Amino acid sequence: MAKALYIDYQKCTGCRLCELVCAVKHDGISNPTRSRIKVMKWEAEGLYIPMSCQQCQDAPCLNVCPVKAISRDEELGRVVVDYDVCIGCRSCVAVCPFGAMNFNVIDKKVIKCDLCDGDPQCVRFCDVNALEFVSPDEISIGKKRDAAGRLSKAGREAGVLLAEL
Amino acid sequence: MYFGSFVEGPLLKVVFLAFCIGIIVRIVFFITSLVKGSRSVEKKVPYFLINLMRVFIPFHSAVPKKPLYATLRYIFHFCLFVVPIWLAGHVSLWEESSLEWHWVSLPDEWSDWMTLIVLGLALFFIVRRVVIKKNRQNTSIADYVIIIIAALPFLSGYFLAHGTLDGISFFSDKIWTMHIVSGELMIVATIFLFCRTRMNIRTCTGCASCVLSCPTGTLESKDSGHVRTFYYSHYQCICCASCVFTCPENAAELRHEISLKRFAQAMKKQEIRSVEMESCQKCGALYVPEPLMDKIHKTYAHEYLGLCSNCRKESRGDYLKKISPWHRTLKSQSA
Repeated sequence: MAKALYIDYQKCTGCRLCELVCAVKHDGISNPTRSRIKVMKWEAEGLYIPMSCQQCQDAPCLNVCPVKAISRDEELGRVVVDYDVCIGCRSCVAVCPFGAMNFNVIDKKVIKCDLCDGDPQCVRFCDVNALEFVSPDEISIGKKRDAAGRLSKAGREAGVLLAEL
Repeated sequence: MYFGSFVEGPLLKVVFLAFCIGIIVRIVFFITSLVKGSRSVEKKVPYFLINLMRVFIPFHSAVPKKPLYATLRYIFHFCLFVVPIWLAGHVSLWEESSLEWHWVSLPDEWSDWMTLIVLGLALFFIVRRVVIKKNRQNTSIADYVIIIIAALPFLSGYFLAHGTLDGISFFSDKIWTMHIVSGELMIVATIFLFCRTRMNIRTCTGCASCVLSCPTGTLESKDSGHVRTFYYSHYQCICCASCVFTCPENAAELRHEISLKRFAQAMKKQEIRSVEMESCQKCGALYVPEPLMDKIHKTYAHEYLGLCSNCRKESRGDYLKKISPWHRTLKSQSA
């Protein structure tokens, strides 16, 4: 099964290394504004959420594209832009619910996360493993394990409380 | 007849002189503006040369969109160009003149057929404009006039060569003069004939993909205030029809325009269209032209469409923040 980019934002420290790495990998320039991934920050709460393309199954960008330049690549589980067909109308930028489509005004083309053809560099460079490239069932199993852990912990605490009574 | 001899003699010379000067001026203006306007500074020389080459090999990129119409258009223009120059009658006139130039001429049957093709196609283009509703709405009177100006010398020439109308006394005297006058009109019109990209107001979404596809930088768009304006510089255009081919809405058209004013305005940028830009409801940044958003609203109608890319990311983050168990624990701790 195709792997997916799993963002565990609770681990993110907001160092924005992923943004730099992404820009360097794709454009050869270490300029975070040209990155496909973007870390949204809430400094007051200490909350950092990296936002990237969700590779939607029924992608709005794919549906809205007037020249059918955007297609789904099932092998890698991603939505890709064919730059030979793309005319740069920016409909996809206007429709993306996550704001993950960006328009690069220097190269005059739309940019989106392409999962680095199956080897995401942001994952490679993320020190705290906030970004992971895993198969989707692993994500849900991890979440189930966490939830089960919380339940059992709550159960244990409840047991302690009951014993105290 | 005084008028007849004037048209044949001095006026014809003036027209030919004006034509030569006009063509030279236009070539000079064209090349300078092409060099000046060609995109990408580093690649200026090759880019400019590529564009110049594309003028001499007039292959329209828009041919695949309407193959039949494009083929007819090519045939029409080919005949329009070939017949007046290589017609046997015209060549013999050059030989008789004081210049004594002569060159190969077309066989009479060929030129007859080509003339008929021009007339037939001209009629077809006019009828097409009248009959098809979409074309009729987009047509101005100038479009008909241009076709008629191009066809008139051929019509009068055909009658002149075959003497069809000699039975009518009015035509038997005047047909020669009429042919020359219409020919002169056509030659003069050629100097002031420009191409111009037109964007259909009803269908154009203002996405500016035509601007991106334009190889010479003829089409430009500028966002100022709440309006995106499109500019067109007529001397720079190589009539490659990239804009017509690119347009996803089939709103762009490349059409003829006869204008005395444009001839002198070498570097002028015409304003050809302006669209309103939509601004983000949260931060006020302009992010999409209004017609494009209207089009998107037909398939998607969500609240997030009113936000710009950055604010969408933020609102998504806000949502994640709300549901995050970590945030809830933080909140309960502070409370």
